[in-house]
Amino acid sequence: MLRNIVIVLLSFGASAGFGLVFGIETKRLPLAGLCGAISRIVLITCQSFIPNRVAYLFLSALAAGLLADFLAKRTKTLSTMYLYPAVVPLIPGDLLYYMITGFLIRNQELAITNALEFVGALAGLGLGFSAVNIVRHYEIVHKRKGNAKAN
Amino acid sequence: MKLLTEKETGVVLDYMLNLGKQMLGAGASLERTQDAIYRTCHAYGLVDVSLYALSSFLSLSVKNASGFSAHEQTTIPKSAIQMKKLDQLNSLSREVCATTPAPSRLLPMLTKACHVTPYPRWAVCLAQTAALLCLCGLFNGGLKELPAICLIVPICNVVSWLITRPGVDVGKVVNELLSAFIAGSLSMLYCRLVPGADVYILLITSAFMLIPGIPIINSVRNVMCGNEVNGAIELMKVVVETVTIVGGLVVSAAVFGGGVL
Repeated sequence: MLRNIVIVLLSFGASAGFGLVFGIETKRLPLAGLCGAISRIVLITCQSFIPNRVAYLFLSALAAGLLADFLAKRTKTLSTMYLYPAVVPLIPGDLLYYMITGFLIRNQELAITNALEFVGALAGLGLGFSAVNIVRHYEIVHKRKGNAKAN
Repeated sequence: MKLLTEKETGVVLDYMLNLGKQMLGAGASLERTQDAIYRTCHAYGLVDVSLYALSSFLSLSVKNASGFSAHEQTTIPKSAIQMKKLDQLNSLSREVCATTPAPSRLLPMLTKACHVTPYPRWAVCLAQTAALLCLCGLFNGGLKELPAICLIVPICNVVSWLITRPGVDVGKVVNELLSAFIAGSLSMLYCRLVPGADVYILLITSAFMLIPGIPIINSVRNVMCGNEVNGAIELMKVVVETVTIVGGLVVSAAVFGGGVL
């Protein structure tokens, strides 16, 4: 439990730090960090219930996308502003690194294992972002219908 | 809605192309940029809009109500993500679509929106160091590894700045290869000086500093959101960049590692 709290706090720090590197305004940095922390909480929670990487990354990407959309609407800005810090904990950079290292040092087992994991991670993230787009689409359609009725 | 003359159509087209260029340059997603351009076309009554967009290229042709058509294309130089600028460009795009100001005012408004003072280099370097210290902690790094990160990040930043200055620019591949080699070499040498420091934690943290994480995410988003060509190109770029980075780390391990890999 304590380790998980530390991980969430470190994720907050990493996302806020990268937020500044991405040029996010200082007043928005705490929210950027919060996005990273919440993404990590969702990731840890999903990991403990679902062993499949595609499934838990799908749910985490979905949560990150929806959270970024929600905060963007509340603060009247772009969802990208919060999405980039939110996905920092989800980036499968370690898998890509080990995959390429495996190829370069001719360790086939390391390369293939990580390549499959990497493809799975990309699939999970991609499906998560697609789901966010679908939700967004239906939200816009619903809003337009509401406006049409009001007129 | 006032009908645009031929000259005004050209000016609006110029504005849209420059807006797209600036948005993509500042790190906007392709979908958001396309959306901004389509909305502007709609607001100014332009029809038959044909937009071909990649992260590095934009081509746009439009027709006004009287049937005059115009076409422009541009390449997009690679630059760092700049969210503050992107926010201002997004606000401008919304304002233009809502109020449709006179076309002659569009380019000055765009120039004003692009004027953003970035954070000073030292602040970015400090933030990156703090972020990587957190990542090092996430990879189970302890007090023995943290000083190495405080050393590696500023040195790599300075080297990167020196070799990418205007007039000296050696290209992204050489920059990343050199940065990875320096980061890897410093990690190996540090671990020789400080017994007990974990070289793998330092290597993976250094790799995270250089691996293009956001482009990985954007490429996947592009593929799943209908921009498959751009997604595939971006993914290929990510793989090439990662091969370069890992290559630099492997060479440093071969030189200074003493069989660490």
